[in-house]
Amino acid sequence: MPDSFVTVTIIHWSAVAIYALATGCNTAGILFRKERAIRIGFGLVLGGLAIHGAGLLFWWRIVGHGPYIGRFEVLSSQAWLALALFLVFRHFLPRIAVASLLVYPATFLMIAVGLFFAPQARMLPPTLRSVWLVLHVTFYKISVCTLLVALAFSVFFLLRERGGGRWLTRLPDPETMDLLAFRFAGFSFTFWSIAMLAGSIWAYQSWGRFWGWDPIETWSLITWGAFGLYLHLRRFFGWKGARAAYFYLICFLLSVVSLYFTPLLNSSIHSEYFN
Amino acid sequence: MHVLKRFLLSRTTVLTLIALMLGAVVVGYLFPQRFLVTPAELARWQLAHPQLAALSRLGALDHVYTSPWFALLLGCFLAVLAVSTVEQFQRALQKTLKGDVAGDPVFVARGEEAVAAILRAKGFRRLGTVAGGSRFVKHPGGYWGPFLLHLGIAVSIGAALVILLFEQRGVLHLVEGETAPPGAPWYQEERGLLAGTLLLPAAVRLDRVAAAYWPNDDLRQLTTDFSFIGQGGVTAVSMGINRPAWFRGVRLFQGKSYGRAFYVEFRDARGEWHGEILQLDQPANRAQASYGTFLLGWAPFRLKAKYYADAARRGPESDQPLLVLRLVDGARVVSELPLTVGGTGRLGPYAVSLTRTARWGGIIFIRSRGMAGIFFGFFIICLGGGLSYWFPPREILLRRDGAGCRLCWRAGRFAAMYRDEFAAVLAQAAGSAAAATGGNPVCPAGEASGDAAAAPPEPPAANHRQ
Repeated sequence: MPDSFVTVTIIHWSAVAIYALATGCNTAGILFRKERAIRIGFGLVLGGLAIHGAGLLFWWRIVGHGPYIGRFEVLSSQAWLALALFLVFRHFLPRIAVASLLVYPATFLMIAVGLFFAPQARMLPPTLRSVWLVLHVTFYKISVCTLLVALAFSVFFLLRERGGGRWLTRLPDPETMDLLAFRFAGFSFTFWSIAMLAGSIWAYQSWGRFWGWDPIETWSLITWGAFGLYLHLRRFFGWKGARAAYFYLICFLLSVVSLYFTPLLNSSIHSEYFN
Repeated sequence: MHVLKRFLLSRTTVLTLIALMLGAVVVGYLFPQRFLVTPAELARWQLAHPQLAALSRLGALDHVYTSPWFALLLGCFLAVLAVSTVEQFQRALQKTLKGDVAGDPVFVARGEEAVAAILRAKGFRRLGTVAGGSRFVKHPGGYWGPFLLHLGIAVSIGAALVILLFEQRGVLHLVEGETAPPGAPWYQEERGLLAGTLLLPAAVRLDRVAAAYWPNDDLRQLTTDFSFIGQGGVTAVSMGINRPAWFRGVRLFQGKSYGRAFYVEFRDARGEWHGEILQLDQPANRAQASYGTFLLGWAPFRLKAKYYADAARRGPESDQPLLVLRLVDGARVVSELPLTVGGTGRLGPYAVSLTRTARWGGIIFIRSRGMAGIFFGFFIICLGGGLSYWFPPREILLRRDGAGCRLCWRAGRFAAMYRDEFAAVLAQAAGSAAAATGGNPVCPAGEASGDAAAAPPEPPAANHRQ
């Protein structure tokens, strides 16, 4: 078993190194308009994704369950899915390619943080054996990708608004960035809703109650409500530009609190999945 | 009626209600809730924060989610959502049947049929005629996305409200072999604001509690076998975590709590005999004990108990658990006695024996209407979200104009992101026409006979709506 842990750790650190290299190439390519560097970055990311995916599958085989308990596997799988999904989104919406400036580094940072918690094999408690849990967790993981893309465009918009550097002029026009932030926040809202509902069905089957006002559930609902507010403010009250971007940053912070900090509270029944 | 509808659909009302709901949830998080903390913890908090405690009592802030004001808020939210959903339905129907095209047309020097063929090749489908032109729509289902999204949320919240008002829930803790008669009091009971007491539908006998463990002592599965005993005979039921059961309209869930009951006999100095069943929780692992404190009506002492799953610490479960009893007088320990099954000894003034042990477990009984709504809402939201964000409808109105034709374009959502798609249609039409005529084939309406730009124009800004 310890040998397996070492192997998994090495694979993950290799993926981190490749992603870091890809981030460098990609960032330089976008900033200095070097198509070749962007292409190299993209190739590296694909390679990193394959190695990282192999590491996750190996880990899956060791522990005998999907990557949804324990900080290391949660963060690593979230990083993998966020990046893979981003590449899928990018294929259909090429305009979001510049969000890679934020998505690539966010990915390797998530893996690195996960590795600092040291991989530990956790046995699956009976409450976590449900297809609804798999859906619940998967949709939150999908949300992470859309949250990051919306964050990227909100941040780029604000930087551009404040003057920023010359490199910002190489990004899409502010109107497009604002719209992309709005659209991906909408995706996040939808995936978050689905994740929350799948979670409530899972909770009902496991504990006989669909909602228990556990801290994670409460913060998840607060985040969902904040995203609902954001979307309504944009659609019906004409909020856009810097005001909307700042509001999105609040929503994003709430989502980070919900996803990564509330599971650390021992009072939560969810804590067994993250601690 | 019209005024009420306008009020419910008002943007300010919607926003205010979302903000109030958010505020209620935050209050519910900040104030300790009765169902989340023990009475002792709640009392401690109230003593530490007398002013907040008074406020909490006044506004039912210690049970936000079962308070009438929260139910009222949820009801208002549902009403707004319902009216908004109806409105969205009407809008979607109108857009589907009559179209959603507006703005300035663009002239293309190409035949109607040829442009129609290009549109079909790009995924647009002809959906009838409007204002003398043919309507081509890509992803018409996308018009129904916002309606379905609102409907799904309305159904889910409606179902949650039904559960909040009508759910009945009772928990039984039984020792193996013990029978609870029909209508027996619950160990724990919760019920909705408008729900009556849930009655135990038949006598229940707990037959067996079986726990399986992983090698690291974590729980692998917990299974309970029990029987309903009634006039119709005995019905055996088996259930486990994530494996609920049904009985006469009541859903049965495996309770998380389980442990061991110790049958202890005490004989005092006068020779009087007292039998006690001490129920203790299952220890977290083989090395740790679980603890309990018991008040004995017949003795002036408190009895503290400690239980290890296996006296030899060989596993998380065995037939030889270790029970350690401690007699306490105030803060002073009077006596301590470790016991295994069949063991006897002296505990202060008492002769004590542990005659046998049995497992105990919990069964949760729930009568609830509304969960089906949560499931249904889930699927509608998935569908609505998918249609809204993955398939925004794009519509083109194609009108014959002399030898060429005019095109009006509109995207249902995120128009700026689909400009390129329309530009590609125009470019393709223009490219073919230019090749055929050698002239400039595309220009905004009104300039069809004048000088036009060489590149395809952007669709008119007035058409863009998020």
